[in-house]
Amino acid sequence: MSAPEENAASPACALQLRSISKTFGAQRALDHVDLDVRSGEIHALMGPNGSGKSTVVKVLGGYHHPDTGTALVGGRPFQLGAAKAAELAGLRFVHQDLGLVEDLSVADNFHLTAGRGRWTVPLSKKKEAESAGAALREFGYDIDPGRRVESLTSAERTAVAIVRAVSGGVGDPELLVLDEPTASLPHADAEIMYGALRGLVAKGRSVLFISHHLDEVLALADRVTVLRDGRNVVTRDTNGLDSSELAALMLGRALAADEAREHESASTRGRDGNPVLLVEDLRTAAAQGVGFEVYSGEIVGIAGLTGSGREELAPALAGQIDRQGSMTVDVVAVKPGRPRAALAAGVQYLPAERRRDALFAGASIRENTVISNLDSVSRFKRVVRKLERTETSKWIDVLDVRPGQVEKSAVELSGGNQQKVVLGRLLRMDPRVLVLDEPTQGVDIGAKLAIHQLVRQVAAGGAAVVVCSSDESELAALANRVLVMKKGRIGTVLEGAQITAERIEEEQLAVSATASASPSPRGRGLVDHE
Amino acid sequence: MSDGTALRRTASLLSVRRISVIYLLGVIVLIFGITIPDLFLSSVTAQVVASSQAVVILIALAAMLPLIAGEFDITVGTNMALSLAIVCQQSQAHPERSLFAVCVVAVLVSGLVGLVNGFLVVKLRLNSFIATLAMSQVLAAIALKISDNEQIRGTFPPGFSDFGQAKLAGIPVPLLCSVVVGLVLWYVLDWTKLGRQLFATGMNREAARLSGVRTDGLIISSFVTSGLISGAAGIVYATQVGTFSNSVGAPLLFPAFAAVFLGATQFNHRPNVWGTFLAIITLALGVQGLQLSLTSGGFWITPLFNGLALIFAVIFSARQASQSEKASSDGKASIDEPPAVAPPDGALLSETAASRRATTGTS
Repeated sequence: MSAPEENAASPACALQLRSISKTFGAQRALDHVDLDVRSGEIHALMGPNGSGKSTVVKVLGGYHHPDTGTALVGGRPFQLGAAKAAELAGLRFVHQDLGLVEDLSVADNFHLTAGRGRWTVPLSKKKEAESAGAALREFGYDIDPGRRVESLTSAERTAVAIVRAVSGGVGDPELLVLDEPTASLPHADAEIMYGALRGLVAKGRSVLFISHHLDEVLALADRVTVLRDGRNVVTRDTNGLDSSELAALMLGRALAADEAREHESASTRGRDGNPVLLVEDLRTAAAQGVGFEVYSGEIVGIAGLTGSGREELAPALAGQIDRQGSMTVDVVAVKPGRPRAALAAGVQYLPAERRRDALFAGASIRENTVISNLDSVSRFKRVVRKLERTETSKWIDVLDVRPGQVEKSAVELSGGNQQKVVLGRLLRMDPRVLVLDEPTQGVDIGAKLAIHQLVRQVAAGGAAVVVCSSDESELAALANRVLVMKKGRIGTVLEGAQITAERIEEEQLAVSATASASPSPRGRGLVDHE
Repeated sequence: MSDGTALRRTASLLSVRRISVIYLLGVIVLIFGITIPDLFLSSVTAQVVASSQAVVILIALAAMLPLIAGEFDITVGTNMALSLAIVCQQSQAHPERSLFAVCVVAVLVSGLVGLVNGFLVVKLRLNSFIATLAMSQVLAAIALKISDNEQIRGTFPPGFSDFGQAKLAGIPVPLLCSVVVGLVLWYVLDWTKLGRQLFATGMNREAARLSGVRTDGLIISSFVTSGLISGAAGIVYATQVGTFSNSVGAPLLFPAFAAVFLGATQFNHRPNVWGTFLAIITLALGVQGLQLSLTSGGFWITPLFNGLALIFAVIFSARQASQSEKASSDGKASIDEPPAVAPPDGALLSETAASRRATTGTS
């Protein structure tokens, strides 16, 4: 649709894809897709789940062979569908899961992909560590190469993965391809990464990144290409583009009125009677005495940087991890550290790590849905398939899960639909307290809006809702009240008109500026070598 | 329209991916039915297979339960040997004691072994593969001590041994015992909350725990039940053979696990009771046919056939699974899912989970 006008052999283009098509069975994943990434540019690739973004990355990386299409890298013809050719041409990839081995040190992880030296050449731990440390310092990261990856924060891991991708491999890195690199990073941590990427393009390299975050794309990218149903929708400058315009481009329609409300603040609710959820002096490893209350019908957002204690709050409330301090639901105390105790009190919990903590990947939608209460689909102690199917169909309809086949295996669903299935499991229990941890992480915009709508309905039905999120715009869209965590405590409480994504961001950063004990993310920014 | 969908449903029910072992069984019967019809298609073959496999089936069912919960139980073979040693030794040394009581005690001891296994795995958080491997050596030592490293011929009343040779409607009674145990397990696993929660525990323990499943208790129970069934297998073996020797037990481990793994490639692609039965009968018939075909010295056929059949079945099933996964992941909904997060669907779900844990160790 938007055939870029540059000369086909222009060296000013780091990457040119022309008319790439890829068909899987009867499904056309890519339909004559064009993509141009200019040298020294940060280019975003966007689109709803199923639009073909990841297929583009897989074709580039040599994982898929395209049916048709040509490619130029740095002006030279490039053979698509071969991993070795991609590396030689200077394409570097960082996938969403980062591809780091947690049990190994940073230096070992660098060495894994270094690809130099024959296997007979003995390894030198010291040299490895030195080269890894030097590469990290070049990007302004002070990370000890001897540390094990599992001891790093998610921001540091992302940094290691990016630096490793750029510094390793054979041949000069021309283009860095990032597949949702910030999906698990809070905004302030993501900022550091943006700094590193900007430094990279300042040296004449180029970056292509996939993201679901509209604001991130607008802040970071010079240009954006939007795909939908495997076709180009548009390629344009991000200047003069706003997030609702971008969302409309992705969805292929203007936002409905209730969806547009996403970009406004939710109103403050009146509080009457006793709080449903009352938390006093809650302590975990990261939380240092947190207290708050949530009333019926209220949505309370929890913000905070990684390490602020935010990421341990939801697991502590749900009994996934141990805690100290008191927690009551409708004035009844809930025992700590036991999911069953929380469940019995009416607390339903959506974990942040869906694949690790929530999804039964090999099981069907039916099995994933009914596991929360098998008695309700049983007669005389016997689980009845017909009742299970009726119950599951009901929730498939409510949540608009697609494809909505009861016996479909959960692993075959997109991230957004998997999240909906897990939500259905919780909502069928008619929760008194709904605790959501990163409810829309790795979920496309359509599913995100739908999930937000559902959460509002649950609150309107009288439940108390707690949303922990590193996505400030999500909190701004959902919460009646936002608690910003600082150093394990609740620092600021934002209410009503105070709740904007910018304000939440500021409050989080204000925390880290005063936090002397933990290394400040800002202070670890990029060192300018120019 | 409805005819079309019915046809498709029938076709998918009969697909090779679902029931490859049934086709293999057909091929075996066909081949040996043509080459050696007189020897193979005889009631003797059926009797030999039926009575010799009863104990293997029980051991396989015992191994299957912890496997569904995502844990290995390597002790099944030696646990059965322990129960056999206790029964033989006690009946010989104390013929005055009630044989029934001795049998009950022997089965309970095996159940206790299961409890220890469960405790080691759940409470002390040991890797189940390592813990039960170690326990199997401890059990072997106890059995050696009891037997004083000699064969023990149990002194059983005639009724006891008759039981092992008896037939009901032409079916050997030991096989009937296995079928009864199989029926009970099938009902519990497929049709009750307990079974569903056990599968959930094996698929994703943390997700199951957060959904309110008592995962620790279920895993321990699966080990205890596994021990009880192993112990019962020892009693059945005593009725059939009546002798304990050091070579009994441990060699059953492989056929049992092979049958569970092979069975898990059938029907719903999880460890399941009837897939396990089918795998054992098919392997036994294949071995029987090959041994009858050879003029002499076919003793080496059994492990060779078992090993190769398992390898090919799993290769076949994994390929089928990856193909169907590709076909489905090519559906629009999941194109954007990175391949790194898609685990191998289908084949041996809990088994892969368990073996992954075995190789990485518990941390």
